[in-house]
Amino acid sequence: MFRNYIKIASRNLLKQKVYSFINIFGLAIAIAFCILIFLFVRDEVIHDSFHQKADRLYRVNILSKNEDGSMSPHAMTPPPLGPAFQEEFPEIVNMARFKKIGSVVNYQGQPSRESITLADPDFFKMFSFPLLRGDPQAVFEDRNSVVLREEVAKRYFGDEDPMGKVLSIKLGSRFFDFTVAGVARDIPQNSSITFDLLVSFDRIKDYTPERLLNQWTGFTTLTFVQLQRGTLATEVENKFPSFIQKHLGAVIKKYRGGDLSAYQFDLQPIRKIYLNTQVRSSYVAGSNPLYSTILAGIALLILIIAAINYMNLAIARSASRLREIGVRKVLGADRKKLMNQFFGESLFFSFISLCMGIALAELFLPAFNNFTSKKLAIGYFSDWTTLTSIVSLMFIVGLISGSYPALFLSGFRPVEVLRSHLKLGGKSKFSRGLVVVQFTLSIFLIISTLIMTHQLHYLKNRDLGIRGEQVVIIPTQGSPQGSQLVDRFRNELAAYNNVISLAGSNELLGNDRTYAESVVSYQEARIFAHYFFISFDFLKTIGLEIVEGRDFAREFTSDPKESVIVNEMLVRELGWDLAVGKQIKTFMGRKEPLTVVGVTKDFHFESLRTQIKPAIFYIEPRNQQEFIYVKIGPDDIPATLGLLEGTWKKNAPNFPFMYSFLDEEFHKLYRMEERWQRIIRNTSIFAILISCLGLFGLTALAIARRTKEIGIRKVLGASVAGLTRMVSMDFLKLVVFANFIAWPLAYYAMSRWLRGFAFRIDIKFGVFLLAAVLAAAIALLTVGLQAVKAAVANPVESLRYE
Amino acid sequence: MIKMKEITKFYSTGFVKTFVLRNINLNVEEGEFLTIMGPSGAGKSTLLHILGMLDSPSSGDYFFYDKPAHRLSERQLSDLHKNHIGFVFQSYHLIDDLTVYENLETPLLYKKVKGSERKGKIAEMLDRFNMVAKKKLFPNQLSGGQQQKVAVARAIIINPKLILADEPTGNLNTKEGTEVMDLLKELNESGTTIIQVTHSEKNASYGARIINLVDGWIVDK
Repeated sequence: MFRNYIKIASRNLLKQKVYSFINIFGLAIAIAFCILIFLFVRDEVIHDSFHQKADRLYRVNILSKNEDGSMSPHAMTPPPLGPAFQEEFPEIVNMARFKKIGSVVNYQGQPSRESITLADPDFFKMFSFPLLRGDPQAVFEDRNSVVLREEVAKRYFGDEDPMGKVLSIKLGSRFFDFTVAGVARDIPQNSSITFDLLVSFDRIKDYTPERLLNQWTGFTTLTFVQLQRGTLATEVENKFPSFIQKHLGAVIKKYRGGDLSAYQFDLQPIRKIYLNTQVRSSYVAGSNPLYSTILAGIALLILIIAAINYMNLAIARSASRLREIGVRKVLGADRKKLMNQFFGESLFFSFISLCMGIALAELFLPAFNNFTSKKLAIGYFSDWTTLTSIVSLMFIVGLISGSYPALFLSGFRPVEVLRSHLKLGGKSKFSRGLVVVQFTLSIFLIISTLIMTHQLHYLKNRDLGIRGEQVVIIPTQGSPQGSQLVDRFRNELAAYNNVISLAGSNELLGNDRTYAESVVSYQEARIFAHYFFISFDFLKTIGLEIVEGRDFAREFTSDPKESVIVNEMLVRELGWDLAVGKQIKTFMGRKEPLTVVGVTKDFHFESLRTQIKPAIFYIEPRNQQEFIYVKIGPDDIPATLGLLEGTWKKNAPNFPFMYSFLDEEFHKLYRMEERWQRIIRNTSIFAILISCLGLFGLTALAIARRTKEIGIRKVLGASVAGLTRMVSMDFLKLVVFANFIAWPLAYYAMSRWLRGFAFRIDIKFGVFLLAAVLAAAIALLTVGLQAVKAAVANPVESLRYE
Repeated sequence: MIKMKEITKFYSTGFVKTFVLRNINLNVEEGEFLTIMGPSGAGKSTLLHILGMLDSPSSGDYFFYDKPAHRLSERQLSDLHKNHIGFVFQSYHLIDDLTVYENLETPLLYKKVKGSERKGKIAEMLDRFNMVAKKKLFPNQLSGGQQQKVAVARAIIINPKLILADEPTGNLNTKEGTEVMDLLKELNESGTTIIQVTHSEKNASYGARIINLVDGWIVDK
């Protein structure tokens, strides 16, 4: 029997090659898409699950009360917290503090920039980072030991044995020798915790005064704990209030008026860290789970649409299969047998689609990885979830798409089937509704893509109030010569025409995190402002315009001590008419009153997600700059960069030369938006493709159904153009209808998205029209060709056929 | 074998009932060759379909071997179909995607006949109908008469007690038609009950008994 079914199925497949191709290919595309999205979402969800003890590992977060009474979670904790936890809570079996610092590593006289991680010795007992070399229990017994990640070890030592090699690592302002005592296997892609070079947490003492290390007010370290087997997090959390009173009581009394609820602790399971973007921590990159949900939703929708497309086409074909059903019934097939046959058949097709889908997924995987910035792979046998998911996907698709013929057609009485020429599909509300749904999704995605692209373009091209082109930023990396580097650079480069201007600042413009913020007071008024410690010429170098007063100048000897420059926003917030000459007090840097000597135009120093904030500029008194800003000429930029590198090597030989361009720093702020724009764009291409396949099938169906009508109309004198229009209009109407559903949805979603930006484009009506025209054109192309073919056909043929 | 008591069949369209069969009383004994005749639209095919349990009457009782056919479940019906009843249609109704061999095989598969026995039966049929050379052809590669022969072969391969033929020669030329009718006659002589629907007086003459249907009534001629 089964062979009989297979024969029928495969002969059907070969007899109607075009249909079969559309059928299977459409499904394969959807399956490929679903596999990719599944991998993506799975990777997001199972983040950090690879630790064997994952269900017992927690990160300690601190919640601090805001003025409005809400609590903000932070992952950064005071350094003494971990040891105190371990001492006072027997439920905590292991504890590791964790901290990352940017540093420089010297090996055989070659400096390179590295990120150094400090961690307590329990680290390797808690987390599953297997060591290829070295003993995980003992690597930190010697405080001069360092553990390298596999790839880092290879970078330094190539094929040589790294064990026992000595690296010179900078901690604070000094270099220390470390011996390689272990090599860790490369860290899985889905680990929130990463490290390159790992040293004992104890080494923090080499660059931090003892006093600070015991302070409960400095929130500088991540703390991870491992609970005893069988202990619930809440059991420990219940003991926190008395702990807070004991250790933080004094601090709270001093700064928060004794309100003990001002701070709370919270144990966050390690698996929950990644998808929680609420908790702020600069070490661990999070991901917004909303995006996974949206993607999974779209993938599911596309899969359902493809499955229903498949079903529609199967219905179309079942018009010719109806007789077979009738005959089979007459020959003694009961309903169950027919259901088995049709479900079997659609499972057979979905199996073929699945194979094709997997092949397509593999084909697109590199590109997909590229634009999602992930390293995904289809692990067929490495874990059971992937394989079971893929196989169950096949069953779901097979069962959904086979359900119509299997459940509905098998129920027909054989007489009806054999006698009347029953024809199905094409005209039913259901399949027309489906076309509307598909095109709604496509139009929605087209509009979203257009608006996101437009906004990104806007973000990158808006006038920031500064001239970021050809401004090179060189981080001084805390090199001991840092304080004099700006002056040395200025002196040595003064003779070169291509170096237009040069200055220093302790802030990197174009990031969303690190600006110092503090209170400014003028008479009774107090406002928050961002602080920029700069050198002379800074405003000129970044091209920031002065609108009132003057820039800092060397001839005013009082400038470094008494003068400030503010931006227009600060002037507006303090309600000044004339700013120059006003005296303000600040609480950072200087205690004495400062005189405003100039006002700059408002400019963007953060991303355009946020409003421009009040800003205040001082001359950095010790000339200790963290970044050198160089405005260079537009000609022969490589040569100028070479010149800068040469100057760096001469003055800071122990540190690697690093640079970036100011405008690039700003562009980097929108990486996430770029990534999502790409994902949505590619998704919309998928959706359009699948919609077209569906529409193509339905047109074929409708034309088959109307062959006789078209023949009669032709006999009665209808023109080819008229007939083509008649057939196409039917579908075009649906596309127009889809527009009316998609427009408000897209408008709503995109307004929500745009609300995340303080500076944004207006949604223009033209975008909607463009999407409509695009969708209509695609639909026309899909429908029109077939419509013309049907209209041109000889009417005698079609009438005889009936 | 067959007892029909006051069978009626009507279709409701809106408020109007359209009667196709009215008060049919009919008995058929095993081994009979019955012909149902009548003008177009008289309800011949409907009667045949009800006899074959492909359709159910609106009212009345129908006993097939004393079993109340109007009260059988779908499973029981399909058991009857696959064991006792063979159908021959005017338009053959072969499965297009299956070869002659596979078409003959299908009812045996539903009947769960074993592989070797199946082969034997099909070979026997092919031999009997002189179709051995054509067993690998598809229906659309055969002439109408050949297709109808396959259809007849398919109907009798299960050794049915009853063969229902709905204008079996309607689409055939005279020579092919005669061949098929001879075949049916031959089957009847070996004991199979045959009920046929036809327009043709000549075909009717093959049978022993004729009933006439006019507007749903059985009328005496």
